[in-house]
Amino acid sequence: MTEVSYHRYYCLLAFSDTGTVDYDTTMQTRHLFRLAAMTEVPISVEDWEKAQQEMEDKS
Amino acid sequence: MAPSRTEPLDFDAPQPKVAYDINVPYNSGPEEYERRIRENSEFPEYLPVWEKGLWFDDFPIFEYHDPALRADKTKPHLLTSNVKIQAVTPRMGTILTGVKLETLSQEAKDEMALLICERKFVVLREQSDFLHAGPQFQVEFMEHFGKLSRQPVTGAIKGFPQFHVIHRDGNEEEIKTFFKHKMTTTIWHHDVSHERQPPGYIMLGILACPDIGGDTVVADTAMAYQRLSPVFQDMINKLKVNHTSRHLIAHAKASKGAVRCNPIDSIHPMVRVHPVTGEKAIYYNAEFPDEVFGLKDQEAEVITRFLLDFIRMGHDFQARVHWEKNSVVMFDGRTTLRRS
Repeated sequence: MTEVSYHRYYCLLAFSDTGTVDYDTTMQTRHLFRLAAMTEVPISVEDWEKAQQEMEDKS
Repeated sequence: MAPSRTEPLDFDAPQPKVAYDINVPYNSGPEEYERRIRENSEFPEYLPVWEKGLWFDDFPIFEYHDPALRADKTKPHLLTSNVKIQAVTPRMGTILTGVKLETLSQEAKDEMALLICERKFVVLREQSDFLHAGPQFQVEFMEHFGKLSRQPVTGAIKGFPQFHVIHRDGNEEEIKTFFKHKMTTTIWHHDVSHERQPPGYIMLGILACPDIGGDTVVADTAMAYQRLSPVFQDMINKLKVNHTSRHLIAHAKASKGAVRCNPIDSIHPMVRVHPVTGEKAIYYNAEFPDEVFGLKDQEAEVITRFLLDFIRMGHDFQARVHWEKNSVVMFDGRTTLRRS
């Protein structure tokens, strides 16, 4: 990465952070609730492929 | 006896300079402030409380059957003729108007689960009746999708520790202090990814919101994975990551806030496969991971920074949720990273 593009890369990082969501001292009341339903133990690619293979073998 | 916010804590860390997450309070405010907030709120029973002596042991691993796998793919019970369907982007996000959440059948809930898996998030407008149906009803509704997580530190509803309550009002001084130290208030996050079985279905109910601002940005981490080269995919497929709630709990203790459980560490794959769609998605966030297994420290630093930078800059696989009063939003926690 050249010096110029490296600098541009980090400028992009800085501004992409602040350009997406608005929350400052002008904000009015914000009140939400979250309910989160837990599901499966995260499945790795290896475990998924193994399970798929076992299913194929059975059929 | 387990520690609670009203008991002395064996912890002498200095009081944090700024909030862990400016969107969420970690303690109640002065009495006069709390009284004024209660008088002015349409939903006073949903204001955050920190009940004394509440303590949770670890969840044992449980068997899980995804409701989306039972659903009719054409979704006839959910997408009835009076429901208006609008896409947020071609690839992700669907806005439904005309659905009455409080009357959905079991079949329609299964179809909702499938729609969330397919579209990453679903926005449900005009849900005043559901939002006024009360916490018990809302808990029972969400239990259709899985066992509900309980909040380790943040404010909940009295008698319902499953509720994570986000309430901000009149905290201008806190925001000014925050910006003296930080550049942005937003955090790219997964919800409680330190759990052994982290949330796959997440509901946000909007009780009060500004007319403009405070949007949430959603990144599609399955699409982000697809954009990587096969060589890079193969490499990160093999990695595992430790997710921990240690820092969150240490912050709550240092802030003299509530703590309701011991820290949890869970090792998850860097790439997880969605059991309904079969999609592979990057499962990494800026909050809970603290160690990558399979790489040396400096390699992990570069790779994880690259992945997060790439996800947050990839506006072509992100969507923005604009909140409206009486909206409910449901997310797929397995294939999205969110910023709010």
